[in-house]
Amino acid sequence: MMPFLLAALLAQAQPSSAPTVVVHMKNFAFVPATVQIKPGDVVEWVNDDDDAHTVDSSRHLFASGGLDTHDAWEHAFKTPGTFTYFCDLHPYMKGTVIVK
Amino acid sequence: MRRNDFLGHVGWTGLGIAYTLGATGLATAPAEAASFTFVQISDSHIGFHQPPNENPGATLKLAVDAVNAMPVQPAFVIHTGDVTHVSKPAQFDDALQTLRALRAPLFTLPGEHDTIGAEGAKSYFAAFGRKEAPQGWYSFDMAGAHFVAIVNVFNFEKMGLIGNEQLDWIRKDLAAQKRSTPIVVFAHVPLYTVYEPWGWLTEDGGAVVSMLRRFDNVTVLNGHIHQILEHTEGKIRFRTAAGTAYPQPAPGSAAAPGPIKDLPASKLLGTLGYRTARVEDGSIVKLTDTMLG
Repeated sequence: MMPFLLAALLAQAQPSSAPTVVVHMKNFAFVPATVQIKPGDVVEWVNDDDDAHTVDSSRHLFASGGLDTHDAWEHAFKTPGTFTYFCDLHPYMKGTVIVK
Repeated sequence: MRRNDFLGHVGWTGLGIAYTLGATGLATAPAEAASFTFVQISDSHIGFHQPPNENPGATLKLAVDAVNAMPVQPAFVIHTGDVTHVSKPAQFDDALQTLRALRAPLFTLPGEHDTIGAEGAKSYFAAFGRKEAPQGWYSFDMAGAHFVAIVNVFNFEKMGLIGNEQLDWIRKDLAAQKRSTPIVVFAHVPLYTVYEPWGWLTEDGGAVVSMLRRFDNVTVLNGHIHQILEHTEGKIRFRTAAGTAYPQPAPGSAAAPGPIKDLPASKLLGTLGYRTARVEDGSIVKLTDTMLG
């Protein structure tokens, strides 16, 4: 019983400490622009550019706030679906997270 | 909050001064118009800390000091947006510390860097909100000229965008003006298409340009692209402004529109500056861009 509980706790704790996928903001683009993950997985975005960027859900489901150079932000995707997002400082920067 | 209330009051008092000047003869009918100047400052990006400018607070202060040293003070100074780099309250505080030193009344407009998310917009309004402009946009008259400050950074998935509510307001505001009244429009993002691949345009800017066509004398002053570009459509003159933080590449001249990094310290100040506009007989007769070095 105890090991099972511990394993369950660890499984729950994992998303906040270990992103499943890292998306870079580089040369004013999300790289890779499309990622596919499983429900519960975590995506981390890292700003490699000299300008600030953001990660903003097209359907207002998540928003990173301003990410300065070298800043990182992560978000756990709990439900299946296709989630498009953009940088609100440079809206031509677009990306997609597919959760299934 | 008390601090913000105080600063808000200072801003409001500043506008009061501008109107007091009007009441004593500077403003009112074009027939009795006097000459005056106003100053445009833009794109200060307080909080930016990368090459080519590790300290944009210091370069903003250079601009403020230069304006304060003008022997005849401008009627007002307008900051056309991107006061901060990522909308943080501490960045607004730092910017205010410096801009508060201006001797002339200060007007502002937000850039997209000042309104990141709901929190960013809240911080912008806490720092620079005006009682008469609850949504950020406003207009005023001075010495026979009509000034309109447009916000085109609020809808982020399309930028710039003015939006129908504000377009209706602009339409009504301009409808009340005579054809001969000189019109000066301020906005952060250029109203015309400077360079589409970098988003250097306002999606519905054409609607405002159409409204401006009937006037004899129109000047549109923008920031956003950290460089001085001139453009003319009919009788409408557009000019973008240098920033006080860092230069950006000429449209399409680089892979991305990020800061020009490879700039020796000795060259940086030559890319930064502020703009003086001289108004005579109610009409802008001269735009002068002064670089900081």
